[in-house]
Amino acid sequence: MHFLIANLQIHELTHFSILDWIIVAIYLSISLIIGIYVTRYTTNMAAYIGAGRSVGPWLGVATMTGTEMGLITVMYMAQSGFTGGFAAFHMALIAGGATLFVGLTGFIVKPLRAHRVLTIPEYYEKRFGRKVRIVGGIILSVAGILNMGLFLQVGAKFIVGATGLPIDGSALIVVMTVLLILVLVYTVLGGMISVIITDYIQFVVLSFGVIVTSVLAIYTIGLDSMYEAVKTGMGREGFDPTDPNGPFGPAYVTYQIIAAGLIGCAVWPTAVSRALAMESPEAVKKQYILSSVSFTIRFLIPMFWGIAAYTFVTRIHPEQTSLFLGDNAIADAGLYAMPAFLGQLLPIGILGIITAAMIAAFMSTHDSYLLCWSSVITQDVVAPLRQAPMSTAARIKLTRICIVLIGIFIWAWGLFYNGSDRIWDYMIITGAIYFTGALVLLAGGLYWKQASRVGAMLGLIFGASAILGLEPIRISLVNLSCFLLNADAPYWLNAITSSVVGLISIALTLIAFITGSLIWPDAQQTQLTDPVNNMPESQ
Amino acid sequence: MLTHSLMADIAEKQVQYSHWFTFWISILLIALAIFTIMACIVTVKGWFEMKTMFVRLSQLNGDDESDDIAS
Repeated sequence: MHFLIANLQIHELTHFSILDWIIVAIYLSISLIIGIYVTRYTTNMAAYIGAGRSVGPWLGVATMTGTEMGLITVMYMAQSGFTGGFAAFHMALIAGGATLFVGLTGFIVKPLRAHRVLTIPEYYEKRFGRKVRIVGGIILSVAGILNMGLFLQVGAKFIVGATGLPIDGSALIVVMTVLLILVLVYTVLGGMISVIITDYIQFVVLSFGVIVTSVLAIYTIGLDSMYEAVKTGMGREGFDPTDPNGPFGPAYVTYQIIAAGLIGCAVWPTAVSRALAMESPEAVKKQYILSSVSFTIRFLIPMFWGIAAYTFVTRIHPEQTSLFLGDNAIADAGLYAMPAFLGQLLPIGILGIITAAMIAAFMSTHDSYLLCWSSVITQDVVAPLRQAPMSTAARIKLTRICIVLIGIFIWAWGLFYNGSDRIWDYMIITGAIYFTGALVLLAGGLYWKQASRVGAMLGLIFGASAILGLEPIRISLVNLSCFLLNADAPYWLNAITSSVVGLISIALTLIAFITGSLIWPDAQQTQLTDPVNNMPESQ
Repeated sequence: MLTHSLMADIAEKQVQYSHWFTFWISILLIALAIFTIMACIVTVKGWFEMKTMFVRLSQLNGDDESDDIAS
């Protein structure tokens, strides 16, 4: 009974109208037409997954922002702002700072681009041999597909919340299905070229939406109210990310410097794939310097909207508080709060444009991720395992099949998996299965001559230990250890957080990589690439 | 004008967490301002680069790219 009341109230909150639906429909149609139109350019694999390496720096900024500011990012960062207040802003600061650092130094991405590889595992083979490439490709694709498992479900929740569709499940399934089909059609047909074009359009629409919505939120809610709401509702932990009693704390912030900062821009394959599609290593650096603003904004603005939503339901419309906060709140209240808030804040027409921009964000992230993981499976797992070389046509065909299969998987995963309150933490941990090993292998491979094949293989295997940070696994292991050692389980559960597990995993991976490389060096050292001159160093 | 007004409001606060609040809001407003300018530039320059990309892709279609597939 309570659910029906809550459902009815959310349904009545939004201003979403027929005009807004028309705007959304027009946008989706344009995306589909573009996807079909650019198929004429996808005649080889370099064009299909790397846009012929002909992307300039400004277009690169647009497409990287379009991909990385996906709807899933908007949703989980809004959730972080809604539950963590201004303290959540530290992640945005870290992300922007790390991207600027990578842009200024070219750390990892510039020498990687100089190697002219299409995927990260392809670099593994150049540096560490075929076995490392295959194992790395398998770990990468498994972690990546798991990582995007919640995208469809969470993205669909935005659309349901903003448009006022019923939240009882059937609308969610329909939205997920329709959007997935649209994404599959134009990604399968157009590859990276259609991804870049639609990302560019998304950048233009989303930039407009971000600026208009933020200004409207400031004028309507007021910064004073936001301050008072966070101070009253959260106290110090709503402002200070290092507060050990808050939702973040020192270990969390430290882990974010690596995960949200360095990894997010320099190691995560979907971001790196943009760097590999750039026209030159110098263009890569320029792209990263410019993108540092986007990387800050993509976290900062949704968090700000989350805080505005929190203020809206606690101070402006307190009658809505029980819907989103407290024991009687609806399921996934932290996720629904921001779209429900936008549905009330934005006027008719603008709401349609913002929703279209968000759907664009949803689609551009999906297309990039689908293309990235499926090309890894084709290029780095299947092709190296085959004795006979694969033709371009066979590779493109296999990549397209993988795109469809992964799409079906995330559709099913989104239906059957109930996301926890902290989606961001789920994504960090699933991503860490891959990136813990990748960070060490890339940095070690590019900058340390003594890095060896055995060290790389050990690094990959130990990197996968990050999966121990997943909540069910972490809790089971800590409870079991405390039972065997007769220790205080609640204390250790609080002490060994997912972030602590992640940091331990990185340390173990680093030790395994260095130790393995020193004990079992390669018989013949592979060439490094000089990151300054982009030329292979002589050994 | 908007920024000035907003910052003046913030400066008036003499309560407990105002230093944190001022810090976070300053970052927000600065980032928003830079992003607004950048979005305009990227929109215009990105458009021309997109046209260039299509010219190159058309040329690639005519030739067989030498580094099509690594291994």
